[in-house]
Formats: sequence, C-alpha cells, structure tokens
Amino acid sequence: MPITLSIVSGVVLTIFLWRLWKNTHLSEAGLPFEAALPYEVMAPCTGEFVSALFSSRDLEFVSQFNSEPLKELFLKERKAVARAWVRSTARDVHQVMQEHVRISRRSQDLEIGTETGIYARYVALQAACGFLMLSIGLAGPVRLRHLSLYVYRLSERLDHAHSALKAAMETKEFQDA
Amino acid sequence: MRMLDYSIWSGSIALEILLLYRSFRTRLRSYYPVFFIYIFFVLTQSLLRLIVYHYQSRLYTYTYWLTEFLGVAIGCAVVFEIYRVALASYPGTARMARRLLALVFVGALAKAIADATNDPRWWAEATTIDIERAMRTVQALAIAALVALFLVYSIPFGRNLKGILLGYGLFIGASVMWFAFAQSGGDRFRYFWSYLNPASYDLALCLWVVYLWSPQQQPEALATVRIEEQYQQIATRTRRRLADARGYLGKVMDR
Repeated sequence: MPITLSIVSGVVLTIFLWRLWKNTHLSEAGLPFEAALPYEVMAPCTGEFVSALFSSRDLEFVSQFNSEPLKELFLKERKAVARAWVRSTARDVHQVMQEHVRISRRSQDLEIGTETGIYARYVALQAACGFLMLSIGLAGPVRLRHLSLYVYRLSERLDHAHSALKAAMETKEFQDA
Repeated sequence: MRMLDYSIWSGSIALEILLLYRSFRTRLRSYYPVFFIYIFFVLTQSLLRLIVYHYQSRLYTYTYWLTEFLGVAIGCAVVFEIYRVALASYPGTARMARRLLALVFVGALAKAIADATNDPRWWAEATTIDIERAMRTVQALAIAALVALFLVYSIPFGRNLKGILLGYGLFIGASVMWFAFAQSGGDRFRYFWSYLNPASYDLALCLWVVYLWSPQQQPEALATVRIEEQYQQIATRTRRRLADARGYLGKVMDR
C-alpha cells in the first residue's frame, strides 16, 4: 500500500474527527444539515419585487441626479439586498437537503447510488449559489436581471416542493400515531 | 527505561485500569463489550510484553508483533461496534455504512492481491511495519468513511460513543502517520515520534476516561422512531427538487 495513501487517510481522518468534535461541541444535535443556528424565516419575495430589485430602472432614475456618491450608495445597497436574496435561496436548497436527510436516514431501503447522486447535486447547487454571489459582486445586480428571475422561480418551486414534502411527512406521522 | 518512556507507559497502564474499573462501576461494559475487551487486551498485552522483555528477551519480537496484529484485529471489531451502536436506530444509514465499509475492505483486499500478483516476492519482502501500516490505513479509511456518513446524515451521538469514536480515531490517525514515516523519516523524526505515538494513545485514554466516566444513552432509541417513508418516494422527490434548482441555476449561468 503506497505511503501517500496512508498519509492522506491519516489527514482525512483527522479532519473528519475535528469536524465531528467541533459540530458536537457547538451543538449536541447541530450537524451539517441540522439547522445549528435558528433559521430565520423570511417572508417570500414577490416576482415583482425581484424584478424591480435587479432592473436598471432605479439606477437610471438615480443617475439623473448626476451624483456619483448617491449612485455608489445605491449600487452598494442593491448589491447587499441581492446577496441577501441569493443567500436565502441557498438556505432553501439547504433545507430541502436537511429534510431529505432527516427522513431518508431512517428508511429501510436507502440506496448508495441514489444518495450519492443527490448529495452531488446538492453540492453543485450550493456551488452555483456561490457563483451567483460572486457574479453579483463583480457585475452588480443590475446586469443580472434575467439571472435573478430564474433564481426567483427556482426558490418559488423549492418552496412549493418543501411544503409538499412537509405535508407528506405530517400525513405519515398522523397515520403512524 | 528512561523517565519519559516510563511515565508514558505507566500512565497508559493506570488509565486503562481506571477505565476498566469505571466500566464495571457504571455497567458500560455491557453496552460496549468489544471496546472494553480491547482495553483489557491492550492492558494485558503491555504487561505480557514487559514480562517477556525481562525474562525471555529473545521472544520479545515475536510476542510484540503477534500481540500487535491481534490488537489490530480487535480494533476492527471496535469499529464494527461503533457502527452497530450508532446506527441501531437508522437502518437505512446502517445499510449504506455496510456497503461503504465493504467497499473499503474489498478495495484494500483487491489492492493487496494485485500487489502480490504483480510481484510475488512482495509477501516475502514486506516488513511487519509495511503490513501493519496497510492494516491501520484500512482501519483509518473505514473510520473516516463512517464519520463522513455520520456527519452527512446528522446521526446524533451519545457522549460515550462520541468519546470512543474520537479517542480511537485519534489513536488510529496517529498510528497511520507513525507507520507512514517510520521507515522514510530520519532518526530525529523517529526519535520524536517514538514519544508522540504512545503519547497519542495516552491522550486517547484520557478522552475515554472523561467521556466514559458516566453512562449516557444514545439520543434516539429505536422505539422512538416515528417517520418511516418509502425511500424511493423520498429520493425521487428530493431529486426532482434539486433537478429543478439545478436547471434554473444552470440557465442563469449560461447567460
């Protein structure tokens, strides 16, 4: 067995144990998909709001005053709001996974291939949200109107799906009781 | 025997005796029988090695490696016990863990067979250190796979089991590093590690004493499990939701 594999396995094990120790010390139940911090439920944004948030109309209006500080302040605020919105979307995806993990870990017929696929998708989605955050930082929210609308539709769908899953769980719990 | 060597050695003996004494007082030995058999084995192994070293020194090497490999074998059983206790309430995750552990062990076996087939002299040339390093590496991979699964599936831990896992994981991690550098590292490294490796076992023992001082049940007993949905239903739903999300984000990124 190559020495490199031994070293890598030792390092990986140490990192995982550190994660385990840290997680269980921060919160007894607080593990990756468990909401370690209280999840602040935000009221869902309407499509109009998202459209307005990322549209160039407001910027055009502010630009009419020919004031650079005002324009800068406007763009700064818009970036902050857009980022908060993407963060909330990422949190929704996280919650979908959290629900999945909470239910599936007790299923008798869990499948390794399916689980790996789902986890890979979750990681890809979180990476996509990270990419969006970066794009907002680099290009600004005004140039990302189409993008924002897509993300809005996504979060709306996720919200519906989340409600459906919750309802299914509650029905099941009711039947079991 | 130098003072530091003696302190580390006698410290581990004292901690093992304390741990075994507490296991009888708290009845934890019946919850984690394999783990306490392991501790008892390590204690008797240390004393046996000392006796052989003093009275039959020519047999010391054989005794050392024989007890060392027995220790590795019982250690594998400890890993299995961690898996059994932690996932008792989670049949789905337990199934996943079985597959993952089988994958690790089959992978290691396949690698060993491939090495032996490619070079028939491998078995003859491999030193005891090489063999133990390979076995410890497989153990480290198995524990890492288990811990990853526990993290991903948010498996809640009781204080006792967490202590066993952290302590044993720490000891295995340090052992793997020691065996990896035992031959390639220089004399200074070997000198440094000859203290650090046994000290890491003492540290693991301290962890065990603290975490296993009093019994604490696993957070979720099987009887409390309420939700039981068909996995395929859950997986399909989650997959659909994630696919929707991916579709939207993918389109966004294309623009």
